Parts: sequence; C-alpha cells; structure tokens
Amino acid sequence: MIACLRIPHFAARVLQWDDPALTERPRVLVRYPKGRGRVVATCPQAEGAGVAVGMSVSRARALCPEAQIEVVALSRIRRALEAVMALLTDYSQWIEAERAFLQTACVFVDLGRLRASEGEGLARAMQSRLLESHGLNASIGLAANRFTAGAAAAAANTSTLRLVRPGEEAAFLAPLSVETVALEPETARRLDLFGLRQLGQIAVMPRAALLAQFGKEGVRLHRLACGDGSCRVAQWQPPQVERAGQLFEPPLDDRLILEEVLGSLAATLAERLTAQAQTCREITLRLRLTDRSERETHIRLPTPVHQTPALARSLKALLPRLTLTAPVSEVEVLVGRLEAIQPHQLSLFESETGDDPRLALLAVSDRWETARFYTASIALQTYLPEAAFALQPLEAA
Amino acid sequence: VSQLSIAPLEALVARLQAQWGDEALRPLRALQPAAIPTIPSGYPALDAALGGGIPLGRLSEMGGRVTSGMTTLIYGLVASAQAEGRSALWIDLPATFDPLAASRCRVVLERLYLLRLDAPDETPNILREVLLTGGLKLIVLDGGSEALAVDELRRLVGIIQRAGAALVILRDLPPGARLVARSLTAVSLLIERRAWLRRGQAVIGCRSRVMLLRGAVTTARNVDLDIPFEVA
Repeated sequence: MIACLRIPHFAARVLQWDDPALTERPRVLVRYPKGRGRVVATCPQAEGAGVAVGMSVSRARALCPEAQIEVVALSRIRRALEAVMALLTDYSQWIEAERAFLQTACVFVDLGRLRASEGEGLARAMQSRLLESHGLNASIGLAANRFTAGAAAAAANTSTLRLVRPGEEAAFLAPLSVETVALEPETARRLDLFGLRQLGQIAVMPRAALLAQFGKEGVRLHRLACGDGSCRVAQWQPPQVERAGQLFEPPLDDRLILEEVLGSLAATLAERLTAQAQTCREITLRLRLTDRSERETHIRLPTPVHQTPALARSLKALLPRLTLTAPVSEVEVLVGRLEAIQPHQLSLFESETGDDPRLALLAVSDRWETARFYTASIALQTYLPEAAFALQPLEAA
Repeated sequence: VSQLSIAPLEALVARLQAQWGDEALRPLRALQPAAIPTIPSGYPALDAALGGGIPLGRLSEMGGRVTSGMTTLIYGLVASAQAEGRSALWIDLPATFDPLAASRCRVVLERLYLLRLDAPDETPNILREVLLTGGLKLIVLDGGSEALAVDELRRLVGIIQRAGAALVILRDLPPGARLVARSLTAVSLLIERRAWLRRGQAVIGCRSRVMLLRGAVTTARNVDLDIPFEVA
C-alpha cells in the first residue's frame, strides 16, 4: 500500500506553527524571480479572499489588503518538509516528496505489502503524529499505487483518510478529470478537442488507439486511468549534516566577537569531522536576529575540507554576505555533503596524468561524482535512428 | 626632439643593457605585441576577420537562435583543433550533442570528450578543475547561459589564460536577447541564419551571417558564411 499525505497551505502553516502570534492576520508568501513578485503560497484566509498562487503581489495586496505579505524563506520551509519526512521514517524508508511543496506538500510513503485495514491503521497513526508534533493537518490517500493514492488524497477532506481498495482503482479514478495527470499542454488541448475529459473515458478506450494518437504519453495516460500506476516511491535518506551553534544572551552586536565565535564553532566542527574521518563540501551559516528574522547563506566548496583554518576561513567569508539589521540572538553553522576523507599525497615527481587528457578527466570525474565524461561512437549498421550512436563512459583503459 | 638630445639617452640605454642585459631597459618601440595562437574556425572568411581564428587562452562567446548554424560552425572549429593535434572537450549541459552531425563535420569522435553534469550549478567548479588539468586546448560549453553567471566567468578568465585553452560558450539566444559577457570575451559572435542551402529538395546547409561584436581585426563587422551540414 502507498499512502499519500497531502498537507494544504504547507508553507503558511509551518510559519504559523513557528510564530502563533501572527495567526490572526492572513499571510501571503511571495518570491521575486527575475525581479517580479509572485505569490507562491497562501494561508486559508487569504485564499478565501481570492489570493491564488502565481498571482502578482500587487493583485494579491488589492484582494486582501490586511494580509501580511512576506518573502518566503525557502530553506526554512524545506527544513520543515525534511522534518516531516524524518518523522515518517518510523513507518517506512521509502518516502518521497513532490518537488513543489510550498502551497501543497504531498509526501508519498510506501508501506509495503499490507492489508488495507493494516495500512489504514498506520496511515491514521502518521496523521495524528504529524498533527501532534508539527501542528499539520494532512489528508491521506491510501491505495495500491502511487497515482491513485495521490488522487485519493486530493479527493479527501482535510484530516480525513480516503482508502481505495485494491481492484477499485479504475472505478475511483473514472469520474476524475484528465487534468489530474500532468500532461503536455498540446496533449491536454487535443484530448479536450476529442471530448475526452474524464479518466473513465480514457480507460475504456483501446490502448493502441491512444498510442496512435498521443504516442507514449497516451499509453501512460491509459495505464494511469486504469489504475495501473507502477511508479515506485524512492528511498529517502535524511541529509547528513553536522551542526554547531551558540545562543547569545544578551544579543550580540559586535561583528568582531561574532567572527571569534565563528572561529570557535569551526574548531568544534573540525574536531567532530576529524573524529568521524569525514570532510564536508557545503557550509551553511544561519543567524537569528532579535527582530525574529533569520539570515542564512551557504557555500559549496570546490574541494572538501575538514580542518579548522579552512572552515573558519569559509565562515568568515560568508559573514559579510549577510545584512544584519538587528543584534544577533543565535548563530548556527551546518556542514553538509559529508564524505569520507580521501588520503592523498602531493606528488614529488611528475604528475601521473601528464598530458593525457583522458587520465586528467578521469581524475576530475573521481573528484566530482556529478560529472560524467563520455566518448561517442557511431554504429554503422543500424536502421534505428536512436541506435545510430552510443556514448561510452570514459575509462582508464 | 633633436638628435642631439637623444644621443646621450641611447648611450645610457646601451650601457645599462651591457651591464644588466637586454631586457633591463628598452625603448617601447622595440616591444612587439606577442602573437596569440589561434584555432582556425575552418571558414577562411571568418578566420581573416578574426585574425586567425578563435584565440587560445581567451574566452569566446557565440550566440544564436536554434537552427542558426552556430553548432555546425563549432563542429568545424572542433575538427580544426583536432586536425592540429589538440584535444577538445564538449560540455553538454542540455544533453543535445549529436555525434552523427559532428562526425559529418569531420570531428573525430574518439578524440572528443563529452561531459554531462547531473548538477549544472557545479559547472564553474568542474570547469575550473578541467582547465587546471591543462591537457585540453578547446573547451566548448553548450548551454552556458544558465550555468555560468558573469561573476563566475570573471573568476575563470585568469585560469583560462594560464591554461592556454580556448573556452567557447554557446548561448541559445531567444529573440531580443543579448550576449551577456561581452566585456570579458576576446571574441563575441552573433549568428543569424539568412537562408537554407538546398540541393534539389534536400537541405544541405545554411547561409548565415556572423556578426563580430568583439574580436574583429578588420573593418568587416559582418561575415556571410555558407555552412554545410556535411563536409566532403
């Protein structure tokens, strides 16, 4: 069984949980991509006033003048989502959140091979724990596959559970709109022209006809409409980080002292990393100010570090990036992307790679896991255009 | 200045050079600008306008819309670099590199390395390391407009110079967009397709206008090129 926990107004609820004093005013969260402000999340009150995601800030302000409009702290919301996922690891290791999570967060949990009644019990336990620990009301969809579970969660009311028993998927999905499935705009337009607007209409059609009209996307749509969504839930591992912080009482307003504190935090973290034989590639500096605001910046390091001077140097370089408008009440440093220390010795003689670019690129590839080097070759005797060439990963031989 | 007043100076220079070497003090007129090695593009008209081709140790930028002929032009550059024994790397951020089209332009695929990245935001760091390895003399960065901000490029300029490699950034420019790094580049080219080249019903290439926004050594600011999709 797969459970889908759907938490509407996620970002607004997280911020309200953090700061209950502000629950009375409607809240509208915005971002400024390319300099133009857009609404990315709202609270239920603002939504009731007509504010919607994607709307311009000026329009949102006109619709809901009493709303508190603020720029969303994406890292804060992402941390809250990770906390939710960490809580769910008590039930399964197969947990995956949908990419867009600010307005509505959807978290899928694969509960394995359970009977419907057992899955229902676990889902209710998850729901109540989420409410207790984070104050989040989630609707839950429970079904044998991921797509149906997502659709069931969307159909369920807040704080309720909708169970779709095995074998009943197609009947449940039939009245739903085809827009439930994420489709290419052109496919959606053509489906509308054909008068195909419900998943039930798709399910009764021959799959070959959909393949002929819409290609692979038509087949995918038919499979989903028949309740045959075989997409798996990925395994989730909580991000491995080390953190160190300090509270200031009274709050700190001297930058020099702050730099000293950062130096001592760097030493603490370096000691822990060395003890675990690990290095880090990412450093995050987070400051909480007395005006309840939070400042955060981070850096990705080209080479992994684990020693005090390098960590302290990076932290001191991060500090000027933050604009401090009030004294600092708390500082926190997180080091992430941890990996084992790779022992290396500087060569006393000539470089092993020499002038051979192949060896040099392999060395780069070893250091950067995300970089993949290839050479291409052409297959001479083939009739399939997609098989006309092949990319071979670069190898030492 | 009269010959009489220059003579003692020349004597002084000669004396200093005799004592400290020729490099110690020399008149400015004796300095010759060092010739920057280049990679020919494979199109003589363009090479003449650029003073030999795409310069090594410098940053170059090309922009054009899809089907402007930009990528085919770059395949010619890669083929020229390979013909001179230089190795090339193609950083394929949009994952659209077409080996068949490249090989039709005489690119030797066995000697062209292709880099694909799972995390495009790491492009500057990986590019820096690749440059520092020193073995590659031509690096083509396809889809560089998203991956490299101008600040990142500014940091790379010195490394490119030390590495002696030519870094060519290809930018897919939508209508009305501009090349963003002109202040940092040695060569900036904007390419526009003017017509298709046809043989019967088949399209065999394109006729494009290359606008030299930066790097021209002649008065010609525009060069019209016939860019065939297949080099005989």
